[in-house]
Amino acid sequence: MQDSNAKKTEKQGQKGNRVGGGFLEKLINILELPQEVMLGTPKMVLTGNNRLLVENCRGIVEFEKQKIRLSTLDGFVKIQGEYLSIKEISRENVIIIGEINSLEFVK
Amino acid sequence: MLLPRLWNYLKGYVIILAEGYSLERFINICTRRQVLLWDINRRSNHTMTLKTSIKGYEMIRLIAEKSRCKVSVIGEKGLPFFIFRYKRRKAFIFGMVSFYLLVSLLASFVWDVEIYGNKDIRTSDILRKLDDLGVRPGVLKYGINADRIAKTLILQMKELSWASFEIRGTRAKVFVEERTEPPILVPVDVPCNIVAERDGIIHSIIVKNGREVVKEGDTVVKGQLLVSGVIENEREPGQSRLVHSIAEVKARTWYESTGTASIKTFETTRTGNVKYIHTLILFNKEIKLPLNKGIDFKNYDKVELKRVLKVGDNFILPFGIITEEFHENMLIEKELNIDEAKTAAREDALKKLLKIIPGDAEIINQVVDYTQNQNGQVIASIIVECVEDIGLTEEIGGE
Repeated sequence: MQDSNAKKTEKQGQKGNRVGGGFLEKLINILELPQEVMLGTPKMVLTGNNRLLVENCRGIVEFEKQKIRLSTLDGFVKIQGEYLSIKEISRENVIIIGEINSLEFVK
Repeated sequence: MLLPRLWNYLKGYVIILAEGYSLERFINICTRRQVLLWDINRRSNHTMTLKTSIKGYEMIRLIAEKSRCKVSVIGEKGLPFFIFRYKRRKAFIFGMVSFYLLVSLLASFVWDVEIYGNKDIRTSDILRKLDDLGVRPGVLKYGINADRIAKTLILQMKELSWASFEIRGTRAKVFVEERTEPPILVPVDVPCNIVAERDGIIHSIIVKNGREVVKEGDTVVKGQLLVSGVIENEREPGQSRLVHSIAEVKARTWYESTGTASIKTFETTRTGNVKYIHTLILFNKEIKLPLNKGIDFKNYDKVELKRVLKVGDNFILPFGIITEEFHENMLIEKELNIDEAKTAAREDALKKLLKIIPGDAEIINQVVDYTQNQNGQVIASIIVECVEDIGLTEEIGGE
């Protein structure tokens, strides 16, 4: 049930994005609802430089020891560092550990 | 993250080596199909290791075919694999189970009965009573009702005023309290006389109730009337009133006894020769070990040492060993001088007396006389003078 809901919001979010700051996004901003829940925007929690939790990740594009690229709603997220590895991966969440040097959004 | 790790361990997981050119795609398909992966490590350009559950591995094999990857299991971890490995070691499992059964079987019997708190009652008497009630070494402890045993013990042994019974491990513990018999007293409302308990000379007499018959300095014999509970009416002779006499009658009493001591005595010293006899205890049987030689010492001390196999304080196992040590003694003749012999004889005599003299008597004088007989023994005759209460209440009968 929750899963299908998430899918729905994802789709809606996509739609809203495409329209370019559409009605739904405005509404959510006014109501101060969490974006990552309503729209599926990626949420990243970086603990020090050795642990990164990415919520709403849509897939791994590239996976190497020095570089990991993830696909999200806001484009690709590129993580660079040393000895990177995936601690855990599930449908929506990825935990990356290792020595993280940089984190950037790539279109 | 201890809990998920423990959960994974309990369910079991496999370590997989994946090879291929589109490993990212492989991971993405896995996540889309809800296969949980963890600890993914890049090995080289086209290999990586990852961990997944046993169930996940089934699905991964299909995914690998689709994404043209090669997967192979390089490690199996967790409880299911552990159990599987030990399933084959039947003898080990059997040994473990039979050890557990043996220990719990041995622990369900009473192997030792201990009695605490008895002074005058012999331990063997209580043990015999317990035996009648069904408590003895080797009996199954589940059939014993501790409460009932304690109660019956008090009921059946008149000498006990209190008893408790408990089973700790394989040891049955019995705590007892002995009954002190109350002195036989004549009730206050019953008329009585006071008579002499033993011979003596009256030292002091204080009468609180009754009529005194003897006075200070009188010699009395055992059973003689000291204070009478019959009070005559002075005006009308023949009519009398009966009272419950109360008096404190102190008298000087004498006790005598003799003690002997030889001038020639033997002193024993150990020569250092020791022989041992070992006896094995198995359940309730004692097995003499065949190595025993006869004991050919003329004089010896015997020291018995009982060692029982036990775990902790209360889990006693029915195995043990009794070691009897026989120490050879050498007798050395020794001559005491006359003073030493006298002291020894006097102490011997006093020791005998102290058993007879009642506890509340006060010793005021003692006279010792020494004689020597032809056997070389010193004999001490001792006379002890005491002051003690000799009053004994006696009901006035028939009057």
